[in-house]
Amino acid sequence: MTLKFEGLDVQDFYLGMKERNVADSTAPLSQAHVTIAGAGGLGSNIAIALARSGVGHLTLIDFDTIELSNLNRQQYKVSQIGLPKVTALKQNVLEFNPFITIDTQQLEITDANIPDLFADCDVACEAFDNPAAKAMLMNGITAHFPDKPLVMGNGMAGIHPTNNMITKQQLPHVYICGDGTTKGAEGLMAPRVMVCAGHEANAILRLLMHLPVLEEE
Amino acid sequence: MINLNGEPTANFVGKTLTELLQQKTDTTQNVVVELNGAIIHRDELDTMTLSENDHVELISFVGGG
Repeated sequence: MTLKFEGLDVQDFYLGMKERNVADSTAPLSQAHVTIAGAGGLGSNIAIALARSGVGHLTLIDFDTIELSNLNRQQYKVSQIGLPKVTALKQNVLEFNPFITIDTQQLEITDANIPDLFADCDVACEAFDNPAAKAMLMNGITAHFPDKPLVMGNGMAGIHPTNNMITKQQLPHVYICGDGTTKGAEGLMAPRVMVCAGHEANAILRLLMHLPVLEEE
Repeated sequence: MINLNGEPTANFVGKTLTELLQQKTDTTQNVVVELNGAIIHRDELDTMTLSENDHVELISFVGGG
């Protein structure tokens, strides 16, 4: 079998992958660095969306390993059960876009390590499952980096209609995506988690391209 | 009166933010407190008291991700 890209040089391969991207997005996105806190349903989908869009540098942080119960909504495969999520996500993401750099940190984010972990990113992305961790991260980022954009997810459970999921500007630099109310205890399904991840990823792209997050220019 | 999540709310002027949190939320560690547009960090909640016409937003996070 001859692969379609066989014989292409690297530059043509790169340009071919960008062919359907929005005009003038390649340069600003390829320079950008996003740190994603959590590599579950939100984080895995957000990382893939940002990588496919050409965000050049990702840092993935999660302490956890892949379990069977993750496979209903998180972008992992049966063959990856038991692996650290950040290791598996890096493998998967690089298959979608090999032209980016990915740093992985298998650790738990705490009040104490927020200043180190988020110092270098252009945008901080919250993608936790645990509500107390979401609140802790919002407290920490706004305290240590008051001018750094923070994009969060809140409320994406069940199979409710998706039209009530929004991106809300909570503070000048803080955006919260989701329905704000549905709790994970009722069950989390891939579509609404992906809608919330899509809201977060799109808000991040708009921030990185210096577009107003919530209005058309 | 204070304004709490958009609603005029009586009986909290002079109370601390911790007292407000304890009365208005089930799980305080899932909530971020915004007072007049600024986030108030955990270690300040016990000492900071509410004044007339303060705007407070209790940002409640739910599980799921």
